[in-house]
Amino acid sequence: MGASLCEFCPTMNPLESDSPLIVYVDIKSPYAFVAIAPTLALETRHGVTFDWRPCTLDIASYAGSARKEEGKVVESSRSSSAWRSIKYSYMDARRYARRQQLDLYGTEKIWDSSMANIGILWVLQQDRQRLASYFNVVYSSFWRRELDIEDVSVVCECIEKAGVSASGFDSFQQGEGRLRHDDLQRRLLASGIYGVPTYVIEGRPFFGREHLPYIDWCLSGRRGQAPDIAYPI
Amino acid sequence: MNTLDVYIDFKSPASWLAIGPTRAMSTELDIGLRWLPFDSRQYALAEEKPGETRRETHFRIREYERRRVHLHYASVRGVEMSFPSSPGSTRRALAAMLALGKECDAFLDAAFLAYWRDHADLDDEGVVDDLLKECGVTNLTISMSALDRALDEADQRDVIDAPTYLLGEERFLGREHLPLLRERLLRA
Repeated sequence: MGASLCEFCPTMNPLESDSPLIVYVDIKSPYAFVAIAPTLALETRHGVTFDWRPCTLDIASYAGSARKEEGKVVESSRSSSAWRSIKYSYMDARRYARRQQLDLYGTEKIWDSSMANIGILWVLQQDRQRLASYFNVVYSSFWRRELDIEDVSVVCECIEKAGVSASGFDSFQQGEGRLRHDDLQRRLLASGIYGVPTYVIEGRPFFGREHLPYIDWCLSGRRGQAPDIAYPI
Repeated sequence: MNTLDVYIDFKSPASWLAIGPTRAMSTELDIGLRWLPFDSRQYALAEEKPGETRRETHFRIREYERRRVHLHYASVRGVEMSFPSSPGSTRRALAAMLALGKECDAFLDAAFLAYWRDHADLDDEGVVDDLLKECGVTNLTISMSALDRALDEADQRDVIDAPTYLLGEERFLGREHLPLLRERLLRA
């Protein structure tokens, strides 16, 4: 008999929350990586708790798949235009990462980040205050190519480094955590959430950190003229 | 005076929304703008169909959401924006913009507005001629082969969408980069 969503983990509406802002992120996204610091800063500045959630991108399903070895592409189902877009995206994310004194190296394959993203749910459940530490540990190391985020012992180590007990995480990531994660993922696309970071404010999703000025304006009481999109620098 | 190359397309909603803020930055920093043509890919909204692949679903929803966000910012900024039922070609107007060179500002405004308010066919010779006349331009020699060469050059410069700003060799896709561009220009 297959596992089902338990009564202790109710179905999550992708666009609804008690928090004024939902933030969808994925450990394997370079754009989410460079959005973490300005989003955490916004959360601190407003003194509110954002509702952080995982959105594990199924990149191969829309951008094709690829695998590299020693920097060279050894397998690819991508078109040349898809490659150009992806190369631009990495170059773009890298220049903003550099401004935050962060290293960002291109990945050698499309990682399955679901376990590290279930780690977000675990940290939220165990000690919400340590979430920023978890992001700091996982994102920074992953983008320096130091982490195998498909290895449960590696993810447990990150959780511990973030100051949260990882005792029980393995069963969580195979059981309740996996069910909650997968149930949410199934409903994201239909709710208009197709990339990360995505911010949901007043039930409307906005993809990309360029919306942070607008979100800031909304959270500040909508005083004055609404700002245009802009990457925070 | 420094000059910034900006690749745009009349049928690109992001280009239309970028014109005002780009000009404002240019005035503030006293830099020149060279508007260059890019033939962007735009898509009509797809209907949900039975048995669509995950890729098809992804692109259908992405297009819908992108459009919603463009309309949101157009509304916030008071920019007229009505999407035509299917995006037409804008090649003739792009060729006219190229031929006008530095004197294309009035035509830019007229052509963008014609597309985004009136859904004008910007690949139609008569429509483009009328827009040029509105701007006081007569007897302009429009070369479609010059447009093709400019589009090839955009490709060689690795321009993948519009608006793209080129500062030296560095590419910036989208007006969301204006704060960083501004910073780079101030340092230049």
